[in-house]
Amino acid sequence: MLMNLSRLTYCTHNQKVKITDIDGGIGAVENIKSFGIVVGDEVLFKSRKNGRGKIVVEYNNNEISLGHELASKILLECSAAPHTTLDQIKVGDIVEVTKMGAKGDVRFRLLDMGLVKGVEIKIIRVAPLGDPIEILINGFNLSLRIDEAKNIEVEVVKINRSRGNGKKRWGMF
Amino acid sequence: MKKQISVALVGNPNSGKTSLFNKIVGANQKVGNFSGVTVEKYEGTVLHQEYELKIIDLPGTYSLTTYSPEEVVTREYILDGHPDIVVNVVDGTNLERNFYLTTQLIDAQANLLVALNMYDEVEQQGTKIDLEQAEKLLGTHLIPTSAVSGLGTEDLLNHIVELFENKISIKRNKLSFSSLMEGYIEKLVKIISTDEELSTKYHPRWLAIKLLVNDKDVYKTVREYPIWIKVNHILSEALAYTEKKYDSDPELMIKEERHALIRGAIKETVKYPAKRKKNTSEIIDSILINRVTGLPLFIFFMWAMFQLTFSLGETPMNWIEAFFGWLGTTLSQIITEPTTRSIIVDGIISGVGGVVIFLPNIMILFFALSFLEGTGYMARAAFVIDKVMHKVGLHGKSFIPMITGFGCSVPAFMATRTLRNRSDRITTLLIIPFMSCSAKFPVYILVAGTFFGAAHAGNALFGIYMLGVVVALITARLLKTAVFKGESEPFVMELPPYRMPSLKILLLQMWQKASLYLRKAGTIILAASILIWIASNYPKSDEITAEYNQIKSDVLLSTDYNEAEKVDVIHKLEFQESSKQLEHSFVGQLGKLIEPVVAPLGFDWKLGIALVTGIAAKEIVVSTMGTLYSLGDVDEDSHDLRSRLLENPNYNQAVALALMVFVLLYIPCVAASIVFHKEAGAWKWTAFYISYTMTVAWIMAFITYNIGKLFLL
Repeated sequence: MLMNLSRLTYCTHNQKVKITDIDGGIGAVENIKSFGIVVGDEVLFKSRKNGRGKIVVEYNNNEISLGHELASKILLECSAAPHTTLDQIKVGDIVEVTKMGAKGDVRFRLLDMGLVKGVEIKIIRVAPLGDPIEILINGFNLSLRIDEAKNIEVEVVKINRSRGNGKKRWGMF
Repeated sequence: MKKQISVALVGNPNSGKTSLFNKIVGANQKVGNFSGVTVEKYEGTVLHQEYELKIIDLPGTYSLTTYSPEEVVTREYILDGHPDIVVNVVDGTNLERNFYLTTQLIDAQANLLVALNMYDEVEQQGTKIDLEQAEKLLGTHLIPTSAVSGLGTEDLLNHIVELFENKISIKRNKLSFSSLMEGYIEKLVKIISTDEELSTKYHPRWLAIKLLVNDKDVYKTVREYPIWIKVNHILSEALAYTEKKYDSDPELMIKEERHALIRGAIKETVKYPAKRKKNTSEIIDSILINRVTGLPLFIFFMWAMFQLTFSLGETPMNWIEAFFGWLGTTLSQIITEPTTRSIIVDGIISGVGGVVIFLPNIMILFFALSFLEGTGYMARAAFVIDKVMHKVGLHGKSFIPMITGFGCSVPAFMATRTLRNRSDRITTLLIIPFMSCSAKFPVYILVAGTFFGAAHAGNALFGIYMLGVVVALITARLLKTAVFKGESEPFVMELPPYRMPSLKILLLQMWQKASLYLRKAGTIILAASILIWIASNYPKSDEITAEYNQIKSDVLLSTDYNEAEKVDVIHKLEFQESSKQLEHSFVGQLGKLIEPVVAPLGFDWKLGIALVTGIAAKEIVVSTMGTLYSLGDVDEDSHDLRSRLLENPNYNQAVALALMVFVLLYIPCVAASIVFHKEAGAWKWTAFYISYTMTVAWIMAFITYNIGKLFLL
């Protein structure tokens, strides 16, 4: 069976997952290790705070709270392509819209901009203060608030790993 | 008289529509307003063959719906204004999104031509478009254009004439949706066609589609007709069925299908290059808005824009000041009749001069804003600062108008036009006055410098500015929760590629906005200046005049002084006389009348009068105080004025602070208030604006004075 790659941040409530890799440099690996988690461990995804907030997992009967950015570096394998919402997607990953769940004015605007079922989106960046996010869609750049993105259901099409590969990394781009 | 063809330019924002407009009409354009709304109307003419083309540049829009005033204006113009030709300017590097509007224009049965703009960039990217096939699929003419290189402009004008003369035509291709949706559309078209009036006014298919996508305006229109019952029946049926079978709704399905149609057409006709090269915009963005440098760079750019406006503007400001000063003195010598002289020199010249002097600042500011907007950085600025703005219920785009308010409220009010949502716009308009404008600065310098000394004046100043910002943010929050509940605009915003705007266009836009400022502020200020002059000079007390004439002639005749000393003494006496006359005038009496109101704030009637004159223009507060202390024409650096203020036992640091707070918060000058009214568009908002600023000013000054009394000297 072909296994799909996923990130811890794309999991759903009460999903049991096995960690297969860390998408980051030595710093990230050490950071995660300090929570007691290493590659090969099995954790239970419990909950996430609103938007790109903290992720809570259960490991060895302990509840561990991880920051969103750190949690997104934890890679796992799952049987199907991961499904989640647009606000959870890590910078660099590519997704396809499966359902436009937004309502009201937001929905009008997003539809006008081409955010419909089937369209492919790449997350380009998160604003310096953490909100809004910038995406690449149909060849142009669109920004929207995390609040506005949370109602858009997506399927993760490609996970782009950072240049870390477990080695030492520097630089801010 | 040449035959006229009316042409409407429609297109997405950032499609280069306005550049194309400017390229075609050049300087033959004028700016006005669409009636009843604060949306600018750009009209121009160009002669081509035997025709005069009257071109109107409609505001940029992504779709023919009706949320913002801009979209309403565009749609109404196309549907009800019946332009002869509609030219849809499309950004060739962004076809999917741009064609979304194109297909709606086709639905509306506009006499359409599509200008495939930015074609130079399309070719540069290596994209190949099969124009013939695309024309067939869309059912309209496509003309490649580039405002930058001039490509296609002649071709476009030819096409306009040919289409007008019916010399060219393309088979209209009905863009069909799915059979399910087409089924409902057909049923609705059948019903609508039974009403003759409605089906002649609007194209039935257009109405049918808009009804299915929940268009509020079309609903309102069709609801007036008897067929509404049958129409509503079909709509409910469609809604129920799509929800049950597809967990969707007709609006979503039609919009999705529209995008799918477009994607299909593009797949057939456009070939994108194999590898998309990392373009310049991406590189620039990775430096300008990355997580580390984004915020500091943003703050730096805002500061730089500000600095530039005031330092570059300083020299021309001095020239203008000198000019008006010269004009004043020359006219003083020419006009001998004292009343006429006074009304012209003290009233009109200083009043109008006070407005014109800001023109260099305003022009530089508008130039900077046009530059930021034209390059595309404005969108990035909103992107970076939105989180902070959103916390108080505002939009990232509110930031720049607010920052502009630190210079002058008038261009700041005008800058709120970028906010498409009405409640965001009104909220921003209401809080801009709290951004301490530069005219208030002389008052702070005078008061803080006098009562707090060099060491602490700076802190007091900073505190005042911060207070303004805090009051603004709290007001925004209050308005959001109490008045504009849940109406804020979605942030969804395009980040256009960085482009270098042409200098010619920047200067043109700067001039257009500046002349709007002159027209608005200038004409009303003239009237207001005269009014205020009358109020500060009349009624005159004959007793005082007689009394001083007596004293002056005594001095002239006396032997106690030599000639030089006499001139000096006469001068001092005249200042004293002005002071007494001011007290006696309408403004003076008003100041005394309001003394009980300002007394709890620690102010006396002299300060009351100064504050009243400050309603005309904030700089006047200082010169009025000068007059009241019989010092003639002084400014904030005046040593004499400072010592007089210190001498007064009723003035102390608490009063000084309260005065600064009051000046910070109370009603802005007449010019600003008038522009506010024009931008807000409703009396109730202007009334609220006046009462709110006065109330907040009074309360805050009261608190400041009473707390200050306890802690300060």
